Amino acid sequence: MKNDTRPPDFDYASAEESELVALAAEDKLAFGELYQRYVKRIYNYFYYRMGSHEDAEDLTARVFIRAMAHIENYDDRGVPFSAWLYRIAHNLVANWHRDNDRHKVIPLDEFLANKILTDAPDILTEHKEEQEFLLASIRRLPEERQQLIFLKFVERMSNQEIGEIMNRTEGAIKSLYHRTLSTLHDDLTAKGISFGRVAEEVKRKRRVRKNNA
Amino acid sequence: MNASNSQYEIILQNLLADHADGLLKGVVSTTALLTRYGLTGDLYVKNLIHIAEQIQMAMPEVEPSEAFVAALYAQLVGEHDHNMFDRLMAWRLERLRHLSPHMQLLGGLTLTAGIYWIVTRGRGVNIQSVVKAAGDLLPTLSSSERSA
Repeated sequence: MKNDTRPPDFDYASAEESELVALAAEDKLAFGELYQRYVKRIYNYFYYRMGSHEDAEDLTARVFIRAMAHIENYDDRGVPFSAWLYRIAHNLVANWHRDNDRHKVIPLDEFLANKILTDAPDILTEHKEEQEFLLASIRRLPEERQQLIFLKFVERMSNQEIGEIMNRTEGAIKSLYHRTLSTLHDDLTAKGISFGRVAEEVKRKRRVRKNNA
Repeated sequence: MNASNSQYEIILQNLLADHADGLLKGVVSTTALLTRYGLTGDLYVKNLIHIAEQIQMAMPEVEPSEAFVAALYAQLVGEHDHNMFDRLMAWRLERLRHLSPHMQLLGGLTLTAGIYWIVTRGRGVNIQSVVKAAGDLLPTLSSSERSA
């Protein structure tokens, strides 16, 4: 890979993704721009799949190192570059679980509590516990369902975009989403968790506080 | 699965897909949605909707550390920028702090060997930043080793 193939005055930051991909095999700065566009998204993917910042950093680094090594093999046939990165990421997660034979459940991060700091402490504690159960339950899902949840709720992708990444039809993604929620419902119900009640209580307290203000 | 079950499932899939779309756009009215699909009294559907809303709340976007992002960029692009090098060292040292004392020692030795290799290759790395980074490493290792 060389650094001298870019056109003079080439503006990487405003370049189209397809231009960057075409240059990236020979131009490290083009790859660097692609990296900057996607590093946060890939990091988030691993963070929610693995549950720790350290694992997320390690695996994020591996994705980009692997992508850079194989970018010549990337062939844009309607599959976005992001889909290619996510496929590498998906394979790394699968390998990681196979090699480590473990499935960690992490304590909830501080940000979850901060989301509802204005709620009463008793509700806050109960809410936090239930979100811990929910995240733990998500991490017990099969790989593809975890991927779907991440792409939908963190990446905020449409079913069509998710389908492109997961190599499925939009209808199949709809069906998988329903089955995933259903599995989570069964898992949480079996543990005696009732999300609806707490969510309603949080909303009710917010309404009361707003009306009193 | 009979025809009515299959029809119910398709309705449910469409409702949940519409709900998720609305949720992500911040414009969802659960009551209106349930009414539109004729499922206002369906507790199971309401529970699924609540779970989807909880997932959204439980999974906000997180930020990787700037040191990590910069260090990996430097590693990939190979820029021998002194600031990048400092950030790379800072990130590596931060990662060392999470390891056991024995692994820290091993990591420290590997790091030192790496630094030596870089310096002896004469690739324009500022020797002062290497010395400073190595200096930062020493208190971390020695305090961990003392407590071990």
